[in-house]
Amino acid sequence: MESSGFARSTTDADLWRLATDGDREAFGELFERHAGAIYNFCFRRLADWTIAEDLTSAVFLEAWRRRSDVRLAHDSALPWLYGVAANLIRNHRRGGRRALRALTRVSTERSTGPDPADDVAARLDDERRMREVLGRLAMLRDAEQDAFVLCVWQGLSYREAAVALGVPVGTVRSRLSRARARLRLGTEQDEDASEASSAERDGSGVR
Amino acid sequence: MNDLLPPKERELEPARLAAMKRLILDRVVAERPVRRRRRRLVALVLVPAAVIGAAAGYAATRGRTAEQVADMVTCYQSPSLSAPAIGFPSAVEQDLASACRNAWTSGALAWPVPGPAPSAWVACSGPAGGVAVFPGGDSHTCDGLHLGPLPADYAAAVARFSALRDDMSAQFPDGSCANRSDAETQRGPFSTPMGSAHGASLPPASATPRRARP
Repeated sequence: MESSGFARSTTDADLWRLATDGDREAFGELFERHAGAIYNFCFRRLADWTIAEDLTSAVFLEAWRRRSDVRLAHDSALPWLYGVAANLIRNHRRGGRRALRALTRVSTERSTGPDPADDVAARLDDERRMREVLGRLAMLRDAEQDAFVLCVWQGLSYREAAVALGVPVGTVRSRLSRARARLRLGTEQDEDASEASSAERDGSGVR
Repeated sequence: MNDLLPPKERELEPARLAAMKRLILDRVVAERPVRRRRRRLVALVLVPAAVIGAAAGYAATRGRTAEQVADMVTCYQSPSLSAPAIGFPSAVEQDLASACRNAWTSGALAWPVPGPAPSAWVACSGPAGGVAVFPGGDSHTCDGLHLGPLPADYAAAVARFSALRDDMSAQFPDGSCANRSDAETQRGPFSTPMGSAHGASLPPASATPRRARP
């Protein structure tokens, strides 16, 4: 990919200021820095690599559209971009998928690794596995899921997650705490059910 | 809780990443720069013209309808358009004061957090569309910044805008857009209450600034 020519030491805040002034290359640099994180975040919320790619483009188009409304208070633009992504994911779930694809579809054919079949199979495995994991998270409220995914999987601090979600730090902390408690309870109940089931099987074998 | 481990992260392939970047930059290139263009104007335009422009801008801002400010909310750190600010999409039944307090206490508005979040906020029509929300209970804030008041039917306009956004998302077919005549054949002539810059008949904005609920 062509390099945008910005030093790594150029902060996101500097790039954002340039982008606000209409500097496309600065915005391109922000894209290169954060597209991967947004891509994986979108996948982890939706379990679909293709939609994750579409959403990644949509996140940056939305960020550009709102560039003059936002002044970064921190060095990294990533928490705010996560917030944009979380909003678009919610819209997507409410039925915006078709419009999203029309908006962002990149026409380039996918160039996969050495063996395309292996890559496709691996991605399908990922999606199946991710759906299972999200099935476990389904017991949480959406807001708790967001806090869990951002803090536990994406590695954001409470403060960064608060920026992403537009809520106070204390709210992130309590949502995450509730999420962990619910998940722990769910796991224990599953284990109890599993033990009861195997005990029943053992019992019926004796009979 | 090992069953909560997601699959390992994947990188976007370089070719895909480059294609996505091109798509995004192609989309944004058509837009004009925001501040740079403004600066050029400031440098070139004479004072009388600037005065006329400012008057026209003031009139335009004051005349904004609820529909024109229903899409975005921008919270400011102080009652000044040059203060640090953060914007986000509007939402149905969103309490503007609560939303801005959250932005304040989370550090999204300014970091480090500049003290306790103000309890009172004033909402005005934003300088470039959307709603601008400022801390403080001064009912003259909007006038002082040459901004119009929050239109009286703002909440209803947000609800309409949100419904329109959802409806459009559901209506557009995958990968293509309908042309106007096809769309009108399918949906009837365009006469939505959302209006446009080209002149749907919309109720005038209220002349009274409204204070955001604390």
